[in-house]
Amino acid sequence: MNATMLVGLLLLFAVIGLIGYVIGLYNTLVRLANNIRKAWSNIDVVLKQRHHELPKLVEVCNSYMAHERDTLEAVTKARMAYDRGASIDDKAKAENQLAGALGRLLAVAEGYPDLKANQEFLHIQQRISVLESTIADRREFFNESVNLYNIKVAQCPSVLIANQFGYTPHALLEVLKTEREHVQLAFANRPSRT
Amino acid sequence: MKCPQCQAKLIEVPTMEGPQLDVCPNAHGLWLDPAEINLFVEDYRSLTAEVGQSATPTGSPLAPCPRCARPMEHHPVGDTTVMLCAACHGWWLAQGTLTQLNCRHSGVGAPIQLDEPAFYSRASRKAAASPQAAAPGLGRRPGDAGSAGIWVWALIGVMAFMIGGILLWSGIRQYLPGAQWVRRPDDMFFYQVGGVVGGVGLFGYGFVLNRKKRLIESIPTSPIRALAVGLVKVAGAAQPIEGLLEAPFSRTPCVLYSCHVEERQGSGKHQRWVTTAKGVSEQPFSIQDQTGAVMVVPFDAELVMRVDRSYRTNWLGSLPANAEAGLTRLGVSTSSWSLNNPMRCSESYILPGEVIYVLGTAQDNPLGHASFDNATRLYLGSSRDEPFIISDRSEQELLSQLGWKTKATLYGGPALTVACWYAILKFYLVTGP
Repeated sequence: MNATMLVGLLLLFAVIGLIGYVIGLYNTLVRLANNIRKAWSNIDVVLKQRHHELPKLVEVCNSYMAHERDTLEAVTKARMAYDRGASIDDKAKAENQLAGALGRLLAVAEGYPDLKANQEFLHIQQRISVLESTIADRREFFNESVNLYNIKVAQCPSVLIANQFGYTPHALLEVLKTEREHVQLAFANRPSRT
Repeated sequence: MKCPQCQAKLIEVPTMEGPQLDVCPNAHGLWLDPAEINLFVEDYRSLTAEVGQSATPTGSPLAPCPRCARPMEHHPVGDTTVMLCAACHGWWLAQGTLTQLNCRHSGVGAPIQLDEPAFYSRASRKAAASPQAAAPGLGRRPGDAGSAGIWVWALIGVMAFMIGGILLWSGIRQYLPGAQWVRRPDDMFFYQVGGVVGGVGLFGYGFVLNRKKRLIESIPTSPIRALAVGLVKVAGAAQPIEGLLEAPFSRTPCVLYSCHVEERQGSGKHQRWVTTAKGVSEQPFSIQDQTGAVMVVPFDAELVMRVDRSYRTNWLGSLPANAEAGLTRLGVSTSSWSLNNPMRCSESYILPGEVIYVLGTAQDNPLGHASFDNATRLYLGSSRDEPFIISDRSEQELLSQLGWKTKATLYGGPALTVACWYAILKFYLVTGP
């Protein structure tokens, strides 16, 4: 075998190998990006399930908590804001507001023993609790998907492919500072009941 | 949402007292939802009355709404202009417009006083700190800026491929015309031709393994409670659903087993191990983590498990008693054995409580009752287009194994091709004097 033949053969293998490697990297970026979209959509599915429970919750609470109109309306308004949201960011903003309103409602409901003994209320509360646990898990999963994507986009040599095709880092789901403040205020401002 | 002027993605900037506002990172303006305008303008009613009476000047360009992309209407208000979307009723206010509106429609005081210069200053600082603030979003499509670079690299790749092909062809043309057979093709010649072709095949198989490795790396491990339909990866303890199984040879209680029986056939240097029987249990089991449990149907799964027990025939040609009993249970006949047919049997199993790793497709369980628990209504199984792996090794071990196999095939394949080709040309074809 002469040197020309050897060089040609090795060059062919190297070029095919490099092209295959680049295609593999690009396909991985595509998969990671779509995993993020899917993870968010899966959160949205469970959020919708929770939202379907909210009118029933408000209706049950209404008959016992007639004087807590503002708290009940906040939940309804936040739910409507979520339904109107057009983008992921809009929905995330509305969801944060809804989580705060729902937390305040359930905290206030603690002061109504008759309501707490109502079977339908207990059933809905349990259902919402299970759904919220699922939402929390799916949020973690979403963040893990984003983390894998961000690592891939930043690592070498995939960063070269990512820059070429416009793949940029994605933001993680974070709890807003206002949401943390709402939780604290809900407990601090809850009226004492005898 | 995008700025109607520069199409940059709007960023959210919190106000000191109220909701977050969507602002252009290049300080072109801000977006107010219909429920927000009354929080920032002192006399909201007189403003809406004036806007309702004004009309879009003819000939003015219609900017797209940041929320719904429909053309917005321009409404002159005093010395400034506001843009309204007739569909979603939101407001787009250019920088400085909100201050002018409050001057023109002043009242007892807006619920939220917005200092526009300070607000836009905060927005520009946030935009500078965020790498994606002005980016169009997750994953641009090809065809945007940067695609020119792709074509350059593709051209370089094609040229390199052509150069390699030309070099190879010219080398062959240089070598073959003067080449003569030194000896007639024999078995070794055909093995070496097989090596040339096999090396190319191994090289291609390396990409298949690499794709599988990347797939496993790109899917995060999901808590079972958060499972959704589609390809998922879970890790947890295996538990039986309908009682324990017994491994065929050792009779160890387990939730899943696989077994392999091989016989050495042929003579002299043509001896090889031939698989005469194999089996995998198909009884569903469940995998459980801290958040819940889900059923796994192991049909058609690729099992990557350590060999837990293995048995070989001794110098007398007989297997241990439990191995023979296991073969009988498997339906493998032992009556035609001879001393010249050594056998080996191996089994792998998953014990109850053993931590396993499953990559499979979560699908609706037709037998699952409607319940709150998402994991109850799903099961993990095989699907036509996606891999299905059950392993008693950790993900790291699995990836490590795939990693070295990938390297071996991607480098070993070309090496095998070059070596066999060299051997053919050296020992069977030589150039003339």
